[in-house]
Amino acid sequence: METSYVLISYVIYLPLTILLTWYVAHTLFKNGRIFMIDIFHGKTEIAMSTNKLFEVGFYLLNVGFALRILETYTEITSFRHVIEVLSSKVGGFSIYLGVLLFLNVFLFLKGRKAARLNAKAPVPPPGPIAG
Amino acid sequence: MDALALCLYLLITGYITIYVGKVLFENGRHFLLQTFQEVALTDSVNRILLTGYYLINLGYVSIMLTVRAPVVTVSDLFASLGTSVGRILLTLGIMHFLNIAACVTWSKLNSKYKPENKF
Repeated sequence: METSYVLISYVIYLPLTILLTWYVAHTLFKNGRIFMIDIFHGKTEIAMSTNKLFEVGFYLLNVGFALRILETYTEITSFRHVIEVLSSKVGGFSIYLGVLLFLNVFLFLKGRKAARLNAKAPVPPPGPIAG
Repeated sequence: MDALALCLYLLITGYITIYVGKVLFENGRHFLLQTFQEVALTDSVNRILLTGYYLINLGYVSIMLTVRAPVVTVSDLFASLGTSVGRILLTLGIMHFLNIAACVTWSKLNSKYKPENKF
């Protein structure tokens, strides 16, 4: 009987964490474009590439971490227990995601500042922002 | 169940490795172009890097091809797959960020000697 409870918790946990990761990555990197364009002084091509590279890395790290902490070691005996285990796992994962999100924003801001300090030399005008 | 876990593991990690390789191949080109400043050289270096990436990561995937415990139930399958695929994804992610750091260091070293190429 406990196996089916474990299975229920896995089946809820997986889509929830993957959706959460997708949502955070989508928001972060949709809004990260403008930072990247600033950091690379309007060179749209390389800015978009960098954005994509960071996005892939973000997905890999977070989905990997979510899968790594999937396994439940305690015995789950009731539906109430399913909810408790799930909420502690999903809660921990979303705190981790939040910390990473702020770390990323901090890095974006830092990179932008460094780029501005670097840009004492004449800067080419910013190109059009690609979709 | 064991064989199913192995097959699913190979399918999932193989697909992700190849997909990530494709994305890196397309997006890393601009970085290499900035370093080498020559299209033909960049393309060949990029292709060689892609081959190396596939060799290393598919090799790692097949080295890690183990099923820890006997997989009996569906939830065992989930747990086993989650652990093994998660490990591969984390390794890929860490290697990816190390690669970006290497690219940045490389272009910084380059621009130290050729200040006109600074970005």
